[in-house]
Amino acid sequence: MTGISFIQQVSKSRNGVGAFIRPCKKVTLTFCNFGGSSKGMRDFLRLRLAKFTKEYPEIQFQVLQKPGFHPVLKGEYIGSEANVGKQICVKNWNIDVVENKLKLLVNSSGKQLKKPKQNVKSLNESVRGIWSPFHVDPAHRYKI
Amino acid sequence: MFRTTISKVLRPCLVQTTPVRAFSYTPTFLQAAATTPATSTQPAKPQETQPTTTKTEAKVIPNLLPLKYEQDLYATLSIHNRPYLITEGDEVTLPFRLKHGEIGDVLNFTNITTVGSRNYTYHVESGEISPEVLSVKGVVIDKTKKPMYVKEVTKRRNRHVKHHKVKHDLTVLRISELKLKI
Repeated sequence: MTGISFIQQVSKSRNGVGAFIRPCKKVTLTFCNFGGSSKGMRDFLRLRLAKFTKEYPEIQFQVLQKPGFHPVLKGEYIGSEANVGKQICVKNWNIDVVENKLKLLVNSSGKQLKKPKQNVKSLNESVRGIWSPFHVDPAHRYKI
Repeated sequence: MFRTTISKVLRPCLVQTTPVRAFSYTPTFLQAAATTPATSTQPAKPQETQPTTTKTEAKVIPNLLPLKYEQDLYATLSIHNRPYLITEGDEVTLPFRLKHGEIGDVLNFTNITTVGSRNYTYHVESGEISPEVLSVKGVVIDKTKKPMYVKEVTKRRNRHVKHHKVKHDLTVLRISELKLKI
């Protein structure tokens, strides 16, 4: 195979083009059995967690008891956000708020909140090419 | 360095004063015929039906064969009357929370103004490129928000200042398909 030169390309991750994989892979729910701030979390775990987990079979849910600490929802994500994750402290909040915060985590991509500079982000080169003064029709050329 | 166009397909360019890209010429055989003002819909939800035309005359679709032979295509979508120029695989950030779609849902775009390639453009003013001609699909990949900031609301020569916490919603789509069906 001599003389064949090819341009090596790194695979571009475009989640959604072929198949869509949910970015959230694991959710950890920590609670305290004694503390009052964990009441909402305890209610959620007892009443609604089982039904909630059935809707998201691709996510791993882990429940941890952490005595003496406020209840926290932690989400782990795939891709560049794998090391960071997201956490929401749900202290003193009721069962519905805990569920809504959990939905936020589960529907997130894991990325940090950022103000978008451009509305469209593309990995493709521009379709119509960059303008060149040499390829303008002579009739419309800039005349000095 | 620059991709040179073949002289046969080089079409005259209209030099415009402001934009960087000067060419906006469309050959006559590709210009859309008079289209009926059908009820156009917003980016379709997964179970969206086709918009119905009020007039009896059929829409004339010009010969899009030159466009079919092209490798790279772009399209200009109109989402809530705002234009977004996209190619396949792009991430589009919309400045609102999509109420009828969760992440993973597929949207079929119906309000498409332009579809084009390097050398040819098919443009319809009222955004009525028929879905039989072109299929543009997007997947909702993220429903997030902008970082919170504090907005100061005050009037001139009034020392009272209200502070409002603002955290606007965003929806991110990925264009999963941009295909000519003809």
